[in-house]
Amino acid sequence: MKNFESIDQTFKAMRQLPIEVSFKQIKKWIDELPVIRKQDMPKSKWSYLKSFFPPINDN
Amino acid sequence: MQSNTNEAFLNWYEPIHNRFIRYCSSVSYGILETEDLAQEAIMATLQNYHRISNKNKLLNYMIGIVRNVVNNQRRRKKFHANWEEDLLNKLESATQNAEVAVDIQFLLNAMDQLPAKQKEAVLLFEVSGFSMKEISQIQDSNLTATKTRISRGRKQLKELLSEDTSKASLTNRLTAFASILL
Repeated sequence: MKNFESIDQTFKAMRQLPIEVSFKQIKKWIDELPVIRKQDMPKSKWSYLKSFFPPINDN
Repeated sequence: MQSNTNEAFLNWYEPIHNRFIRYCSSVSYGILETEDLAQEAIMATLQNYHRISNKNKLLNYMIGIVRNVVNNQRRRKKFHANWEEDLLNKLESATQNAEVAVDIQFLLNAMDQLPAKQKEAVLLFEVSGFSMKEISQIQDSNLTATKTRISRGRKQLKELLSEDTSKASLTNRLTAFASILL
């Protein structure tokens, strides 16, 4: 490989390599992501205690 | 809510998919699987999709993750003896042509000698097909600097690869061919 032309040809060969991951595959990864719903999350002890002291509205 | 984010992300991502995967492949040969690298970058970008208000910065963010993952993996693989062999085997099976595989390997090895930003710009332009404007956004630099970076990179590659005629390079080349054949 001695000149720009052969470097260009090697770049071209790299561009022609098959795409290793399809868009469909990416869509599948994203669709299969676990959904974390807020109501399913356990309450911490602090948020439990806070529920006994509702915020005071000075107005 | 989550499905809206996923849909918005996929709409943004679809036009750049092929170029992004090509970039992942070109930086991951012999280091890690393209699929793993792409998955890590895509999932991290998706998680932060709402936090990044300027959507022009998304590609920059995603390429940054690729950069970090590859650098970490390279540090870990420093003492991995079969690095060159892994790379050549993967290239050979992808190209189905031993000579082209060796040429690509030589080009990638030469690229490793370029400064990191220069290598990134050349790969994004020559292999992935991103425009100069997109690359300047990815690299947070102006258009002129990007053009200069790519041009210098190509010039340096030419110099590095023209040393190919030396005795040592020929020996390396024959060793690489022998490893394919044996």
